Amino acid sequence: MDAEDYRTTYEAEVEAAKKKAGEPTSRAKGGSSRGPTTASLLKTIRDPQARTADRTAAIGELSPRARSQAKVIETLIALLADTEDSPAVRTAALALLGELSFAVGEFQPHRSAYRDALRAAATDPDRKLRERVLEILALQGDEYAQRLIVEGLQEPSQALIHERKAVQYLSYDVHGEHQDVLRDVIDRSANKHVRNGALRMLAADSGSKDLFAQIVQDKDEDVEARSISAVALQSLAPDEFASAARDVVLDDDDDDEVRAALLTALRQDERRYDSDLGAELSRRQPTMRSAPLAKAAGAYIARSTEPDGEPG
Amino acid sequence: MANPASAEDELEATVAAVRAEPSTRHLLVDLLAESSPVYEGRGMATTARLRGWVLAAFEDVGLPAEACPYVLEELEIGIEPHLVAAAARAARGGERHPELGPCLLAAFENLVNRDDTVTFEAFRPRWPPERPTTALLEILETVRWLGPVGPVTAADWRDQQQRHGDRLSGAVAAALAETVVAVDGPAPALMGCCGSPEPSLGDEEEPVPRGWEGVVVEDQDARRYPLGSLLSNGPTVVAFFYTRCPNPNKCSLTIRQLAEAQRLLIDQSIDDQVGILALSYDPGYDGPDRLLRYGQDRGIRFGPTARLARAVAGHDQLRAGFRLRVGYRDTIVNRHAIEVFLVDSAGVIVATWARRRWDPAEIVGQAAALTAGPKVTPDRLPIPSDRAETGYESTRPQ
Repeated sequence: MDAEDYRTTYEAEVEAAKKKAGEPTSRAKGGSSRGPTTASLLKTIRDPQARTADRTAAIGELSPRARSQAKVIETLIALLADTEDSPAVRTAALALLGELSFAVGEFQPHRSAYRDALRAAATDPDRKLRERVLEILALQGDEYAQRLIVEGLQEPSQALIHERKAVQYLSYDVHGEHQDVLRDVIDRSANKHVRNGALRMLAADSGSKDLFAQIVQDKDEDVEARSISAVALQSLAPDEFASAARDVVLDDDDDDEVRAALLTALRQDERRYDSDLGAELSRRQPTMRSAPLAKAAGAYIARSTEPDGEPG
Repeated sequence: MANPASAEDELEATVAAVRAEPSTRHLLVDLLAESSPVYEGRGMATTARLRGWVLAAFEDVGLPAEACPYVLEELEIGIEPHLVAAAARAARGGERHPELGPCLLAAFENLVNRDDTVTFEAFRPRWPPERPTTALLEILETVRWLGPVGPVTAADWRDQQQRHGDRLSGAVAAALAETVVAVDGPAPALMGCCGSPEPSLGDEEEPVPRGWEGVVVEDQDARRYPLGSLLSNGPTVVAFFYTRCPNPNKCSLTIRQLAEAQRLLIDQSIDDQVGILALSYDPGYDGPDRLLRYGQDRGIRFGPTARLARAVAGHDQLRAGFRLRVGYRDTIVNRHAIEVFLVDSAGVIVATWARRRWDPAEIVGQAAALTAGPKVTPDRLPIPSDRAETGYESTRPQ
């Protein structure tokens, strides 16, 4: 075999390996002129009888120039909207469309159709695909997506995505109305990760401060939930937090970890110092079983002697 | 707060009842007020869907004069496709008049990069819809319905083709071409204006001085004042805004125009006699730091007669006193109108500019006419923050 033949054979083997792995080939990168044309790639992409791997590879092989062509974008959008086609192929189309949507000028004529396809796919039979689609729509503040997500939280049998994802996606819109739904999730969900996620999403919601106050003081609550609630309450309603935290700190039957965390938070509020609390902590500190609690108590007591402290 | 689901069902039922009996169309006008209970507690996207359902109904039941300001407002400054499309439909239920042309042109400009598929086939539509449309298609259909009614002409629409043609979908591009042909002709004689203006404060035969007792505001420097004291030293231009407003044609533009008004006052050497005061709809979020940055970024020169502020006490009283065109989901604004007021030194609201774009020169002219007498140096002392009334506290070290 001469060198030229060896080189040609070697290149063909490399291209075949890339294609098999779904990687962009040299032609897709604007390199070698050998390889499929845009027309042949589109033919493969559109063919529901073709192998899934070939179709997704064809999507990956589209050159940067080809990707900006209207017929390519329209093909990808039509694919995304076709709920009877392969989820894997449609997911690949969605990924590429997501990239292309950043090209504001070129993509603008297709933006309405793209959102239509996203909305059509929001109730797709494939869970992963509809999760991705709903997240994209939720990030855009889409009313239809928000409505679907809320319906799923209100009626779990109709949920399109996991509760934790639903809570996360609703939080993307600060102008949304998900607060009541999130409070309901906190009230009924047995999944502590979901509950704590919902609590975090409500952290800036002034309508939830009573809920936060209740959780902070509830000894039966999850420790993390109480911590999240404490942080939120201190931001939303510092006076109410100080009162609730004080009660917990002085309750020897409560969780020491929580008591220490709340005491630390109270100490960090530079605008107030409760001298009665300080005096009571001074009396109890020598007999505190928990080292972190005793340390937090010591730090709080020390505030009474700081130059900028204002005895309450 | 009313149950959201039942309030929504009531709105749907009301619209259905009016569709069945179009002579009752006036019932829909009440549903357009931003402060209507039906929108209380609703998020911005849901509020848009509900308002759009009401607006779109006017196409079929007829557009009463009282609803015209809402339609023109949405076309002129709206950026939400569903609402703008609904307003375009609503216009077709009314009279053809020249004021619509410029508003439709503005709507096209506002939506050319924001177009989206919408549908009015169901109150809670599902996707894919059977009868989809887009905001731009509805705008163009209304332009064709309006016909060659000046002052906007076919040349203006050809200009849109040239400037934006490459970013239009095929359907919209075709509709625009059809529209250019449809409006290419001599304009008929001008007709009357669009309906009656919205009743506003300042229109009353005997305006009543507003008691602002109990309203305390905190400005961009974290200084607190009774609102009455800020208004008592001369006429004041009072505008409302909030920093989280997503529509650049509303709050951001309002503050920039206030800065323009301030420049005009300075040019006329009456900036020490006419106050500029912008109050936030969102006092829980718009603290002094945000107010300072927002105003500086838009050209406000802060001083004794120019402030951005939030109410730290009496926000509800403020809302009632100015009859603010705003709705809330808890403490977050879900919808508001542009609104600017001219208040005299007795606390009387003598004029209101609401919903539409306003001219700083016009407001400055009216304010200047109210100035009289020798220059008065503001003699207001701030309220020490440790005696402030509500839970809001000054965020700046004193």
